Amino acid sequence: VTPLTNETVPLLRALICGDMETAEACGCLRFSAEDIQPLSVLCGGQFDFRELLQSCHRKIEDELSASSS
Amino acid sequence: MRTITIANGLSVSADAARPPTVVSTDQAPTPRRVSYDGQDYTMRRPQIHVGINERVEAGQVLFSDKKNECLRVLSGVSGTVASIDLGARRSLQKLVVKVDAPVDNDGYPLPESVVTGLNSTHGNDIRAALVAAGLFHPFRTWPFNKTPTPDSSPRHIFVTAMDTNPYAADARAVLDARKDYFRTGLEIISKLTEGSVYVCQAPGEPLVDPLPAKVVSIGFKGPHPCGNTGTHIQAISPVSREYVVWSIDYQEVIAIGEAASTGRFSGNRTVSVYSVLSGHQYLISSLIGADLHSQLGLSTDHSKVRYWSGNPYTGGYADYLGRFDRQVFVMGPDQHSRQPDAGLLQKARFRGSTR
Repeated sequence: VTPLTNETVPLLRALICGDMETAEACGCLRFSAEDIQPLSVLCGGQFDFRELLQSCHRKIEDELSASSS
Repeated sequence: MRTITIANGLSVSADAARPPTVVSTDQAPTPRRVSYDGQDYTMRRPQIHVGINERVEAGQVLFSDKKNECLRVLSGVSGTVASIDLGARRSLQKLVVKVDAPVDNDGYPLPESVVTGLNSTHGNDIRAALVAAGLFHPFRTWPFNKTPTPDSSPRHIFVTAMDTNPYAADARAVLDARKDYFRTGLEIISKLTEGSVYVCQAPGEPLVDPLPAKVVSIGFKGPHPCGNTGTHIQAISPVSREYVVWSIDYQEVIAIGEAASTGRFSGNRTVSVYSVLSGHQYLISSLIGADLHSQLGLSTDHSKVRYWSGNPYTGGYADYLGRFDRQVFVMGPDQHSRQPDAGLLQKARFRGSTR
């Protein structure tokens, strides 16, 4: 569905579990809310992937700023 | 011009893929209220500079981010602060300004120092002028999709000049009368990076010809989401933790060019309106955050009509136009679906190898 990654299902699964390492390996940094939101619509579950992606980005960002300081 | 074809994506019905037929843009009437939605701005710790019932002038700072001095949001209208809604952990939900003076279609004048800064040849002066004018926060960093911090510098800048969302406006129609401003804006933002500025557009002739130095025009062809910024960046220059690029919408580039050329900040953005009730599509020029009931001149009765601000996937029901929303759907009261056109995705079929 998305041209951003070939591992859409593992990415969504990692976002749901909060597994940042797998999500990053599957290309979560390439996504923004507008890229991932159609997947929330298409997915049969009731997950808001936009919220999950933002939370994942925030954690990676905090990790980056902690390692640089 | 190089053209990149994207194979994966959603195909939508032919009706939805066709841009609005009415290309003449009408200026919408002055809104009664203007709203600034906190979720449109990527603030970590908001600082609100005004109070309830306080008088604000056009160009006055409404709120900023304590963690990022580049994020300053200015009022586009003169009026009184009607309400400030705070959310969890003192996050800003919504700030509404009640308009009490007619809004000039050409915008409000910017300080002389800002105009001088915008026309400077130094990247740092331009950046400071953009921050002072409230024109810097539309830039987004990739990864993380947030407003850049003062110390960051991008490898490249991507200008998104296309939209493949259903019922979206055609960038060529919007740009038609503003090509000079767009070119000036591109010249200014090209000084913010050592790399290139990529103008991502629909296939065909470049949107501006000749292009300024360091600016490259690239065409994208294929189903939605081939018009999304993320798709463009992935195709041209994929990002990582260390490899950071910026993106900006083409209407914001026009606003930067207009500010540098005329010395005025214009808060008008061209918005595509699609009425689910009548099937009509048209473009209007509306103020950022404007009250949609007064802008579209339709019924204010919620039992008769409701509005959806944003594209069918990421937008939502709203009374005000979102900061970065370029689409509005007029819907009836009985349409309780999650999308403006419930049949849109049912008609869509999947392409590509992922499903």
